[in-house]
Amino acid sequence: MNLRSLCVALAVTFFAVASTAQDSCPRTKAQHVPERFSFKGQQACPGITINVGGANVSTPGQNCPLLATHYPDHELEVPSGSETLVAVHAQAPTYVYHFACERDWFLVIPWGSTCQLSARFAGVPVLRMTTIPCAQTTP
Amino acid sequence: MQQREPSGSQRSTVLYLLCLAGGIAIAALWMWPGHDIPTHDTDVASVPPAPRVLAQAEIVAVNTASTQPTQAIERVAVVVPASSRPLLVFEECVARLCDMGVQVAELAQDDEVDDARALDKKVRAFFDEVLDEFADAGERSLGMVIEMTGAPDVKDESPSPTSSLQDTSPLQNTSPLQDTSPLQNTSPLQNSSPLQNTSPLQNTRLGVLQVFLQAELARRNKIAEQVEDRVRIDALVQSILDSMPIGTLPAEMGNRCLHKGSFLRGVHESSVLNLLQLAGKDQFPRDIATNMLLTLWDNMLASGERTSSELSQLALLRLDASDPSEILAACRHLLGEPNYRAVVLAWLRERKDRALAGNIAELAAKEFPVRDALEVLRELSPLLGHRRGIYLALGIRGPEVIADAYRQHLAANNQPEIRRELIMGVGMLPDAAGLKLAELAIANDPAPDVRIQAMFVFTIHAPPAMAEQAVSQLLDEPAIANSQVHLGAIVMALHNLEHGDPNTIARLGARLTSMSLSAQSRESLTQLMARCLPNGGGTVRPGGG
Repeated sequence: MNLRSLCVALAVTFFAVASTAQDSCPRTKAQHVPERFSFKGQQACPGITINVGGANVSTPGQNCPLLATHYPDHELEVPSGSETLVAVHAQAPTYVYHFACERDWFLVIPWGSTCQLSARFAGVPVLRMTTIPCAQTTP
Repeated sequence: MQQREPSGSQRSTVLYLLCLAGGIAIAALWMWPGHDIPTHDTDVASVPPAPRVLAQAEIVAVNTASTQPTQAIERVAVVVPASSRPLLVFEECVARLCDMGVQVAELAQDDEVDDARALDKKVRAFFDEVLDEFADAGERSLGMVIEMTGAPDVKDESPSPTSSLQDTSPLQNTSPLQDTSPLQNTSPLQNSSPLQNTSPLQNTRLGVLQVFLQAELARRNKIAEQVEDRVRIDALVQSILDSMPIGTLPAEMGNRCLHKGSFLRGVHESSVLNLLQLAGKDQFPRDIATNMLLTLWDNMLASGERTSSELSQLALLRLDASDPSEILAACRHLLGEPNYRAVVLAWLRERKDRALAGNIAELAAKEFPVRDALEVLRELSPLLGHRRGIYLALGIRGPEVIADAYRQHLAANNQPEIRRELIMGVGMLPDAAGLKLAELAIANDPAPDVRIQAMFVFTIHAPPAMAEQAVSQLLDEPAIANSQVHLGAIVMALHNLEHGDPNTIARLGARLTSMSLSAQSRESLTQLMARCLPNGGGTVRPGGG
């Protein structure tokens, strides 16, 4: 094998390794998702419902939610235009809250005393991630 | 011309004399002794006048005598119909209703149910009485809400549309308490979370005012429909809209009273668009502005002020708007039209706006028919990432539809992310109906993420033995046992068993201890076992042992 063949072989090997390394780069990045507490559903709680001249007036805004979800600050893995990937560095707990009405016949009553938190359950945790260059992971 | 002058001169002289004679005659009649204009003295004498009115009449008579001493003008006392009850003062009525409401609550909490019911009946009667007494109960309530608001936000230092609205609002300066109210920033309306502690008195007061506002809106709306004249209801709605930029409380109160109500109409369009402009400048809550626009469009469609095709054309134009609320409202309207749905979904996918897609998804989950909402969520899923709560909102409304969708995806073995969301959407509901679906998933679903989600359902709804079996089954799988992320999720699920059988925690904890946990998960497991087990479960060492 002469020098020329050796150079070609080395170049081919180099490009092959480089192209393999590039293919393994997922080209993703971590996108931050802020903490969120949201309520779902409503249940027929008490409330402020009254008949005025034949028209029923209620207060939907003060009804009791059926449940709520709490997602802390976390990140999602989204496509990136650069040679990056995400690395998970922690998990953050999520929670689902269940609510229940305790009484159902008051006209005027403090909201918190009728709509009670009945249970809290852990949900599948979300991931804390950071974006790192793919080059850091290649040997 | 020369012949006319003498006759004209004669005529004017005669007229002058006639007028003079008439004036003398009138003066003579006026000054004639004993001539009085007939009065109702005799009638009045039979009815004793109200003391206050009589006193005022005397004061007026004295003053008049001092300025016109030559003419004795006789004043007649006006008879005020005797009132059987004292006049009501609106603010005092609200305070009384608050007190009564708190008393009802206290009686109920003390399990004095009969007394609470009786008092509640009185509260309702008194509320009706106040509403009958005050034809402007809505405006008065709104004014009191504004009084509770306090000063505008400190961050709004520069003149802004918000402040200019305050200057022009008819409700401005209605309260001296605006700057000094110690109750400000304590309202539940300002907090989206019911978990935060708020003043019960503040809550009660806001609740009463909200009832008044809604009752007034309902009353005027009913009259407007009967007489086909919306002037009074439109005026109250306009006042509410004008007050909303003043502060958080009026904004939230307006949202509660107007959102999804039938009160917003075409005449309020400019005010709603003004709220959108303020939201665009971060001077007004975006979600409330969106609610107002959505409600306005719904009402205009329902009342016939705009046809569906007109609104669709408007919505298509709004897709190019710069304001997110307008885009959201446009998308929401068009997605509700089967003819436009595919086009808008394609437009959303092409736009790749994750925030907008998320808002659309939440809206669809809340408002669209469940099957339509599922279609929207499925189409938008590449843009949604994981938004597990969205499917819960759907599960509440149609758990069977969600379960069917999961079974279809499982049969096709596609969309594992959506399968995970569907399992959560049914399985995390308060009832245990989702447990059957979780059993199906944990036994048959090939995706580890879906099975882990199903395992969470077991830890919430299944008996401890079944939950332990589900966890153990997952720990047997190499794909899960060798993943620190999956193991971290299982450690988290164990927290749901904390108040169950401690032996379950002991067995599963011991097994997890021997596995390759992350430091964070190991710490969490240590704390859990310390809380649940009599001896604290010992120290959880890396690698077991």
